[in-house]
Amino acid sequence: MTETKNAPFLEINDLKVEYFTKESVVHAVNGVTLTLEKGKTLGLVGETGAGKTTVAKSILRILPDVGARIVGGEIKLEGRDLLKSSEAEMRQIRGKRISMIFQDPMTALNPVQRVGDQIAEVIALHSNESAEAVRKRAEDMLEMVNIPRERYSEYPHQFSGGMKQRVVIAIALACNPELLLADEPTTALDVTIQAQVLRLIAQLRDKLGTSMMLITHDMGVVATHCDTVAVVYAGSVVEYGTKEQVFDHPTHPYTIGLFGAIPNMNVDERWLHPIEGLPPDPSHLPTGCAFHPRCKYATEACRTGEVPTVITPDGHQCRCHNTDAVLKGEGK
Amino acid sequence: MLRYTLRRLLWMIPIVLGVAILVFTLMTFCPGDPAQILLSGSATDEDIQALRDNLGLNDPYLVRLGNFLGNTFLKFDLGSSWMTKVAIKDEIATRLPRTFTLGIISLLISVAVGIPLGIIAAVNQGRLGDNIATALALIGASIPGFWLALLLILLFSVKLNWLPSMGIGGVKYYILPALTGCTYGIATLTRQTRSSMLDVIRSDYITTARSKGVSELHVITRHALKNALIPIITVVGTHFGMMLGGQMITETIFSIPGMGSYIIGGVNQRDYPVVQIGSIFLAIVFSLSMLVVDLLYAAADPRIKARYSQSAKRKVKTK
Amino acid sequence: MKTLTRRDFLKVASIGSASAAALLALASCGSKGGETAGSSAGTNTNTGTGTNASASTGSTASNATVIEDVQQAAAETVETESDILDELTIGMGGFYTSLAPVRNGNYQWQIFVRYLFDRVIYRTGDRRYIGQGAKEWSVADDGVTYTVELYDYITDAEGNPVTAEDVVWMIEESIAAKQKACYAKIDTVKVIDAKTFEVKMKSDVAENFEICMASTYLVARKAFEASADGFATASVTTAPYKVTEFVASNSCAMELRDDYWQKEELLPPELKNRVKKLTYKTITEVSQQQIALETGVVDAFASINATIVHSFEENNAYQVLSAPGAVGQNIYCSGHESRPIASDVNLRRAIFTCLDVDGLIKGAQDGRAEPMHDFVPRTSTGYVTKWDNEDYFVYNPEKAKEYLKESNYKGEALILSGGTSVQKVAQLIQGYCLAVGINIELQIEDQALLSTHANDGSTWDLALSNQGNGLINVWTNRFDNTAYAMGDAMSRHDDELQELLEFTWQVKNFTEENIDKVHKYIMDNAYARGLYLPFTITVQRADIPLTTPIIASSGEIDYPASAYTL
Repeated sequence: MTETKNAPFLEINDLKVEYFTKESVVHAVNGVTLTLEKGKTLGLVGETGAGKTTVAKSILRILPDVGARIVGGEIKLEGRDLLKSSEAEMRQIRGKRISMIFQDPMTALNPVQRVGDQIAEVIALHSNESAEAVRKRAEDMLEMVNIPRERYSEYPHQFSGGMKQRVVIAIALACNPELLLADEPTTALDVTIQAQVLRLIAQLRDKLGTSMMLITHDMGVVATHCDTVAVVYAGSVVEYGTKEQVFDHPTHPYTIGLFGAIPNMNVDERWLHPIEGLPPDPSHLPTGCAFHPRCKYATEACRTGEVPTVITPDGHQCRCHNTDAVLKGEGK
Repeated sequence: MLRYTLRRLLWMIPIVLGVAILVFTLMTFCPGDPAQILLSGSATDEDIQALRDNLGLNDPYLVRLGNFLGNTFLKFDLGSSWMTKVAIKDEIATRLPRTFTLGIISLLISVAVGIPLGIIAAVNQGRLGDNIATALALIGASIPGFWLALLLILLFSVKLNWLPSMGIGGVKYYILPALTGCTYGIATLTRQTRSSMLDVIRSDYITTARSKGVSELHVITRHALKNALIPIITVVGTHFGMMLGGQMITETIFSIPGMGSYIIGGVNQRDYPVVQIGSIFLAIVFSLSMLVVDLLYAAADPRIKARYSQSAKRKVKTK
Repeated sequence: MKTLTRRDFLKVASIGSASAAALLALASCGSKGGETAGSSAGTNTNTGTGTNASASTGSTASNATVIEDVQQAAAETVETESDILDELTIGMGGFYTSLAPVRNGNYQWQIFVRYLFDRVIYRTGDRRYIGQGAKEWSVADDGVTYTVELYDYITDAEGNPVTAEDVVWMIEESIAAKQKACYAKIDTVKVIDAKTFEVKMKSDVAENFEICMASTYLVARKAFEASADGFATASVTTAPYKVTEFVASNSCAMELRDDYWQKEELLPPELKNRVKKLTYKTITEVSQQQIALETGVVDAFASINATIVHSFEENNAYQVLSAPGAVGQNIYCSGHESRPIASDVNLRRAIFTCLDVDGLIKGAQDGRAEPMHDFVPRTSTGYVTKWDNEDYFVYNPEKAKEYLKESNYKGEALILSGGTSVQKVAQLIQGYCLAVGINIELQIEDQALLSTHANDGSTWDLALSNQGNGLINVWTNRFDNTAYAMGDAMSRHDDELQELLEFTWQVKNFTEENIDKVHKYIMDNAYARGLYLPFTITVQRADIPLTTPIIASSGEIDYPASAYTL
């Protein structure tokens, strides 16, 4: 049974975000357009510095006060533009309707506050319950993430990295948010813990029906946990579609390069196949298509002018001048 | 924690002993004959020698040191001032509270003004609020205390007649002296608070707090400030220690008979017992303040508390 | 366009606020001057007949007065019907650290000590010795045995009687404590009966006995021994005032007793008490002294620091009263054989005649002093009045140069030693000496350090020192060559002078003629000279209805003994 809404649950239109210092301006996000259906998971993939975290923080509007600026676009949650909401309205939303899991669990928790209290804080902010009830709910959350409730009164430094991340998850999910932004939740953890944590997130998400934006640079994670995928390069979405579409029919040269860079465990290879060149300096982006210096298929048109968003044969979006050439493999 | 506190208290003993011996030795070898000063000029050599014998000044150094340490620490006989014959215990009992009160009030003003100014500066970094707060701190650090004292007296005592210009009595006698002493404290606290807060505000857990929907005020006061406290507590602690010893100028200007004027008077007149006992008292009070500061660290940061307990336990385990 | 950086802002802000603060300070300063007088009921004080042609009054301001004849003032109050002042708060620059009677003599001649203790004999402002506890006393023919008869009804504030036994005990305690040098001169003391005792001095040097008796406080032994700290913080007094609050080194509040032991009609003018409540406050910081007067914290300030007096002149809300002080500024030449100056009388004369005392007074005392003609003020016991009209090392640089030529001076630097309080006058002296070709090197030290070698003439060529307490005191202290290991206070051994002194200071030989001989001897040899006598200046509110002030021996005004018209 499909549930169709008039407006998508989360809609990001042409978001532009800049970081600026006295000397230069960094164009972190350059016209990102995405949608997310209720209950689904969108994977945001790209290299470090592509602007993925910035997109997530812009949704919650927790970019740093100094030096960051949202210069254009809309972010609509069930039709309502968050960028036009007041700070007071945003405070209601943060932690309750939208919450975030951060990348580095070692620094994400307040070192001088008890772990249980940090969970209780978000609960208390968004409810009118008594202190005992709040505490009980916090303890329940601890158990939900497989931490014994007796450890409520301990401090973050008494926990391992994996457990800290579980606390962060507990905080994020404590108030049953409708949208969960998970920013590389397992990058800082051991491989063995990674699987655990991801499974936990998935379980909770299924149980609570939460929509999720999962930021990662691991294609494997995308494959396992996401419904739709957006590939981000230099602050814009270069390819966007369902998981199957993008994985089976990658169209953008960058996406193709990413898949190509994944070593094939079944074949005996001597060299890895990275994408040639380096990611661009975000304060001095190339003209036209940001990928053109590294692209086999680059033409004159790629160097100048707007890059169109085309629909590929199998129906997903790709931002490129030369999709035909790419699909045919006619590179130099 | 208890074991840690006890260990620190035990450590105070050699420290205080060390101060006692050091001050005693310095006074002994300092030029200037107390007997001559006591007998004010119109005395003959005989008189001076007789008084020296009387005061024990002609005994060898080690004998005198032994007597002094024995009397002070074993018998708790603090002796009397050679100049006034008043028991030092009594003088200190009346003077130390005054200096202490002055120090505490000064400290409270410094904290009440310095920390908020520092927070304002940090939160508004680079903008007008920061510039104003930092400028105020700069002024506070540059103004000499005695000059400020005279300005304050001219304004509040002479012109407005709101506050007394000197002396001791109720709380209002402490206000102008405290204001004189606190400018430097405000300046250092503002700068330290600003820099600690700036460090802390960029931290990830602050972003976490914001993402929970915590109001900006609580982000600053509950999350950021609590973490920024450690260096601030250090500044407050050393400042308090300085306050106790460094009130000399304030006490002179405002005619407050406190520890500062007592000890300096003793030094000028080579009144050995006063200087020695006074210094020991200051050493004790200073050590205790440092202990309190370290305990405050533990209260503010559980990681430090854990470290204290561990280090105390470790000594026991390795047997 | 260059944008203002933060550093620019900070620079501007700090300069701006510093200037603003300075302007604020200036604005606050300009508030005095031109204040109208409170009331004109208090007329200016009586100057008496000035006998002193060479006194420099130091000030011609309309509200400033110099009291020159202390004795006349006292005599006038005998007949004066005076009103009683309710209360008075007086500021002072020194501090009194304890009420204990057996302690060092610092401040014992300050006037407020009169309100703390009665003594056996009281020394007045013009240095007469009058009986206070003693009804009368006499000396035997041997010149050293004194018999003292006390009043037989002396009691302290608790009603304890003070008898000859108590006095003898106090003298013995004082001798044992060795805190006041005068007691070393007593040989024995014994009780004769309840109101009589006998004192035997070691030698019959003039004034020794009187000084000892004037240093002996009347204290009931019983009360003293009952006190935990020897009266240091709370005393049981025999004085007309009892201490209601004493904060050591800070303030002392006293109130007139109604059970004072002495009968009113027997009190001489110097011992009358016409103020009911008296409070003394210590203010050491000079600018605070001025503020204390201006804000009314004190009604009068005794021995106010000379540098701020001028701000009260021409201000009719205040009166400035100056009286000759008790301590004169003197300069001494070393007599130690290692110093060339010890054997070079012409060099000494050259130095003494190249000094312009008026210039020193102007430069170091702001004009508030008078030149001296010997080592002590003219009220001193033994002062020969005719000295005032004689030449005394008159300023004559040409003559000084002549003396210098005849001396053996080769241009070396002479060391001038002194304490920090005389730095200014030392620099001025250095200047005058340089003008005639004598090089002086200054050696200024803090009091404690100075005292270690002040009497060691081998460490200096010239020394600045101040003395009070009378001519005999100066002779025994400075010129008696048995006083110190190396000779006299200048490490000199002049046997002729010694003979002269030992002859003259005996009570029976202490005549004007003999004293003059000593004066001339020292002058001819230029061993030392007196420079100037600083005034003691009191500033008080003009509305205190003081009609006749009584001056104490320290030069301060004895407010309770003075006369008022309300």
